Amino acid sequence: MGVSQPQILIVEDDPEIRASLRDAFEDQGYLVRCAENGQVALESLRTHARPSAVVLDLLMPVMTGNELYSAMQADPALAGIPVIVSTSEPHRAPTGCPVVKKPINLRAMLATIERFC
Amino acid sequence: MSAGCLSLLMQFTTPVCVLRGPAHMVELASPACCELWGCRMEDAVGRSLMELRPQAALSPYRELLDGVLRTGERVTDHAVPIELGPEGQRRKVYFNFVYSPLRNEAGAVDGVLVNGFEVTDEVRASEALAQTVQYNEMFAGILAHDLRSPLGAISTAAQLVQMRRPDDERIVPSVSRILSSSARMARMIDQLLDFTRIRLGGGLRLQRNRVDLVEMLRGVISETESASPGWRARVETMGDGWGRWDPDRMAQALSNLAGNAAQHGAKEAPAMVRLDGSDPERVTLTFENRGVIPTDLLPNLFDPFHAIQRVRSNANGLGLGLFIAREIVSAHGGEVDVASAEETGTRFTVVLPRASAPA
Repeated sequence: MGVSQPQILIVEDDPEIRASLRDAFEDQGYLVRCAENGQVALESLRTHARPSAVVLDLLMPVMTGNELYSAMQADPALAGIPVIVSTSEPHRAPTGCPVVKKPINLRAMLATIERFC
Repeated sequence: MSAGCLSLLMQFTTPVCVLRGPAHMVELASPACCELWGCRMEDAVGRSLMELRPQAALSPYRELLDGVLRTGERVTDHAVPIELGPEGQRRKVYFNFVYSPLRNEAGAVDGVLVNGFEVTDEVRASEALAQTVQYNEMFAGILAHDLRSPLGAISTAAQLVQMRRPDDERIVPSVSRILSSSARMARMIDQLLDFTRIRLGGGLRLQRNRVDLVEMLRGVISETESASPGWRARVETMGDGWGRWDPDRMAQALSNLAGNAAQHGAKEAPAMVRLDGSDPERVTLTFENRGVIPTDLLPNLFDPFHAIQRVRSNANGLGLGLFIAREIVSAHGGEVDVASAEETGTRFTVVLPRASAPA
């Protein structure tokens, strides 16, 4: 982990999973922001500080994880942000993204996050 | 036609007719048969069926009738749909028709006796049952899918507790039980989802990649040994294990077969797992153990829920593991088979075409 506190954006529609991920990341010293769907996440990405990584669920209402990923890739300011996909259906993940399969193994998730922060 | 014969025919409440010769001339027809044709008996007798029912000339009936005349063999046509009633009040009914050869005095087949039995109620009941089964399977699939999220939340929260209190002896064993039960439930949910995907026609999606089955097999056996205290397997490989398969699905199939061996195989002797890659077209895997499967269970061993059909002696799964393993192997164009006997133990054999494996 660098000198400044790395930030992680969690995009997950299940409030319980979102809360546990937030607690786990904060325990490790990360600053955490949360969004309950892709649209809220996209607004957050465009109006707040650039996070070190995005943890992205795929199946969400309003805007899915795949739709958010496409929007990020289309925006030069967001395209370079590492995205870690968290899904029970890895075959749906955008090509090239690291995937942590649900149910989430927290240690595997933290190890993956550490690679980008 | 004799008066007695005609009187007998008039009492038939089902469609019956006698057709003669290659033109299928109507010799006799019961009132119910004439109702199906939409004509009077006197208009039907003496005319060709093809003239009476021009659409029959183009339909499979013509082929069936010609076939009975040619072969002299009885044929049954099941659940034939027919529209009955006047225009505007048509209703669909279903009949089974039996086409029996009629022979002349010289023994040659020169006619066909057609008997019809209405099976509309049976067909409707069968359709309703199929619909109910489909709804049940859809419900199981939706329920399984929706159970994943709360189960994931339970598992993630339990891991968080474990990480925060790693040395608390009052908490760690309980959290471990939550985690192992969650993992077991997650496996059941995955199996149920796979089952509904297969049953509802979506099938298993394959994403083929270049895969080394030797490396995959060693990994799967090692994982199964870790998860099954007391169970050990020896792995022997020969030849080349490379091919184009879906790595996740193939690992799942091998894991299900290894897990089955660990669960049901005898613990006192190690299981034997062999991979033979000496054939350039296919790879053959065998899983052998000293356990014996009762003969009466063998024919249905790959059926879904076979463990539930038996005594629910364990709650480790839904009895879908072997069914899914076979579906995965079949989706890759392969075959899986089982043999079991007291003297030799049990052997599962998987034959997988390599499906060409360019470098």
